[in-house]
Amino acid sequence: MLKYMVTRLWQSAIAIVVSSILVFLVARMLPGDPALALAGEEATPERLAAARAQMGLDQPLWIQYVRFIGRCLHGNFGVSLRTGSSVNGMLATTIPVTLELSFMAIVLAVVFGILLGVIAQRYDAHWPSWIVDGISVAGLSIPNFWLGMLAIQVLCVSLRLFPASGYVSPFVNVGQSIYHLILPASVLAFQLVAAIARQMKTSMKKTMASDYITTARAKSISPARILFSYGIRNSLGVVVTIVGLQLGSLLAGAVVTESIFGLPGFGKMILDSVFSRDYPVIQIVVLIITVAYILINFVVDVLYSYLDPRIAVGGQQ
Amino acid sequence: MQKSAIKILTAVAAASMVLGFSAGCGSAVQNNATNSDAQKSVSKEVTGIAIGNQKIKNGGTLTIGLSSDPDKLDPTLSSSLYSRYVFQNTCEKLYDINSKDETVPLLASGKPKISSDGLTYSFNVRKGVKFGDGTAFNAAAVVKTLERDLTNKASARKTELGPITKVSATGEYSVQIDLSKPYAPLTAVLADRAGMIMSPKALDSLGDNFASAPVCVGAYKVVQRVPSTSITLEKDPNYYDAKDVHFDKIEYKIITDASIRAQNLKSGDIQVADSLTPQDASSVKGNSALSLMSVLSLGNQGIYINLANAKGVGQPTQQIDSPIAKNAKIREALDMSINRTQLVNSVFGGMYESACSFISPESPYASKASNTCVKYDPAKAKKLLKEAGVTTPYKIKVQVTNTSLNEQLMQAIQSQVKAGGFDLEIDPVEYTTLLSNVDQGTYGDAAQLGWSGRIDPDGNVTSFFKTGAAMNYAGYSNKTVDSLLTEAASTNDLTKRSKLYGEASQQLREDDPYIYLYRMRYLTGVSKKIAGVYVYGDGVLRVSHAAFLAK
Repeated sequence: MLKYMVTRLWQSAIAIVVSSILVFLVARMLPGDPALALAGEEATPERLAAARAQMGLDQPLWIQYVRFIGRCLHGNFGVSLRTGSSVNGMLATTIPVTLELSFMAIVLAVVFGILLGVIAQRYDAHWPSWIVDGISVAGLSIPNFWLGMLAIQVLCVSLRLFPASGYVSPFVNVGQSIYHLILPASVLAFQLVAAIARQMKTSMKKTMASDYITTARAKSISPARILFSYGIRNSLGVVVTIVGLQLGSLLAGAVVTESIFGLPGFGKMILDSVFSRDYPVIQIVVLIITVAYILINFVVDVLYSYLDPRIAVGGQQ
Repeated sequence: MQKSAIKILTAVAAASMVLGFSAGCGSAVQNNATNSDAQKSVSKEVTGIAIGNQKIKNGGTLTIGLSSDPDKLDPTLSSSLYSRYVFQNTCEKLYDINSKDETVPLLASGKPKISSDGLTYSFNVRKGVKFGDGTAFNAAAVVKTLERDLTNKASARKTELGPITKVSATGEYSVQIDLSKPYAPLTAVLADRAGMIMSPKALDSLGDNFASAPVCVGAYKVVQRVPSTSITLEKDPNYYDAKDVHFDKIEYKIITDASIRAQNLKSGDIQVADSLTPQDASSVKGNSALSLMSVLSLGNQGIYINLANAKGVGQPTQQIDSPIAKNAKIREALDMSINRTQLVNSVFGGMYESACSFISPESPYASKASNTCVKYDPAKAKKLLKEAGVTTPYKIKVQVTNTSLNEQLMQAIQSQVKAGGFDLEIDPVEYTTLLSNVDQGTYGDAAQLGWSGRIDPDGNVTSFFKTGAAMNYAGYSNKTVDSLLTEAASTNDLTKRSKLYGEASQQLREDDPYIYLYRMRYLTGVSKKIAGVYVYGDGVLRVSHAAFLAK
């Protein structure tokens, strides 16, 4: 077991190093550079040269790479070439926003997805089920950005129910924080609600048709108890799977949602850094996402091998 | 109950408008009917919303939706135009401009005295002024700032300050600038970032990190900045005119998407939104709680034709081997195949103006020659193409920034130039990529780009069309134009300069290295709850003396 973990850890480390080189090179393969993106239309050769020298972009690539890795190992991610602010500070302010947004979106999606799925199964082939089917199709086909724009137009501008932009930290004011995030979180959750509702309905149908439910009914256990304790509970597995699978697309959705609602999150930071060719920031955000995926994979692999001892390093057992 | 039903109905109607807008994106040219109305209503410039006799109240926080995150808040190092929006409140300049785009003294106490040979500028600065840190503002501070602008390795001001040889304090409040040759644009340059004076104390302690805690003379000072998100300013008690500064705080919210910015303005989340699109501007105009300010830009937008920029700007030019690069007749034909009036009406709802030279018709330097346009004549264009001996339709590929408005513009041009015998292909690319392409000379036949504009005409032409100039993306070279531009920059006589620039624009029109298309307007939406907001030809939003109106 230990040997298996060491091997996997070793492989993960190689994957991280290789991806750090890839990220470093890919960022530099984008046409233009931060000096140009920053100077914009005022890009005179002298100014570009001065900016490049100031940013250390006139150094050979391998020196820039070694410096980048050296800083990372010290836990110092450098400064943004655009604003001069420290990347560590930027991460510390943006990551909590995205975490809070994603957490709220997942909670909303799970609650409403399950609720709608159960309703659809309960009233199958009747109008509540059709409505849920309609919502599912809409949720899976309406793009995030459009839904966001529509929500702002209707709920913020016309009805003035929610603020159209802005963020308040939950450490400052919990109520205000939820009030500012509820709309973006709902928009972000919509697609996930649709996916969960659909799967939940199918899963519930299967569960409710199984023998033990019939047996429970025959034993005249109350319908409510059958629904909650037997039906829903045994159909939940699918929700866990979907949420797990959708975490990645949730981050992608956050990039769009944060831009529309002007939330100072990690997603918006990715977008801004790419457009301004802010190499240090691009490198770090992509690297963080890569490391997160590799770590999750590592944990999952270890868990699998723990749960199923047959999975192990080739031919060891 | 009924009221809320009506509210919901309005909301649904509004929502369907959003739908309509997104559906109508591809067909901009057909919007003529509604757009001509817009044109009538926004034909005049609205450069300010004055306080006048209205009652105001002190205090409160002004929230501004800013379309782009400024770069470093350091006047020497800043390259982004949006930093000026913040500097306007935090970092006053020696000179400013007024609604007529004339330079007026701000921290300087009068116009500069220019020696007869044009080589010495001297001016006095205001007395009794303090920096945000309480230290005194004087001639020595001006000298220190200008020397930093001239000598800092990463200075973005060095080029625009021109042929300065020496800056010296001739008294506690008097400054003298010596030049190696006459340089007429200097006063206008001092009305931009080069004229922003920084606190010597802050410069000494922070050096290149000045942007981390910038200190200048200003109505407000920077207290917090969250990158890509917001910049917060607080009233500066040390400001010389503090009694006329009314807000406690100003918060800039960075909202890059134009329609989201407009939505935030309508919802009341922000009180001012800059750079509205013509589409959003007309909806702001129709909103009873908002006013629209519109100011003609000093810059322009156009199409660069690659004549000889084969190896990138700054490198020796080399004639591009294509008919349009070699033959001015073909470029002229393209020029006269474009119906600019129809273009600005259909794509920009009549809110922008057609442009035919580097001088805005609003500029004091405008002349009949600079205002003349090539007449729209597709039949003649076809004839010119025939004379040039090329097969029609003549194929041309134009690179354009991949924003929906720019693509709409190119689609409109594409359909217009067909009648003139051109088959125009649109090649949309991301903005920084396009900048890199024009810089490297790898943009193919042509590229659509523009320039934000400078107060002095020299800043709108010399860098682009003088032989070997820094941003000569077309690789253009013409000895007549070179000497006209050199002569115009070295005299301070407005009439003479105006005539010289008129001649240069005429020559440029004949050679067509760049086909002028339109001049945008700075469209700013302002809540009727505030007054004292101004925007002039440099596009900078001026709110330092604005206030909430008393109810």
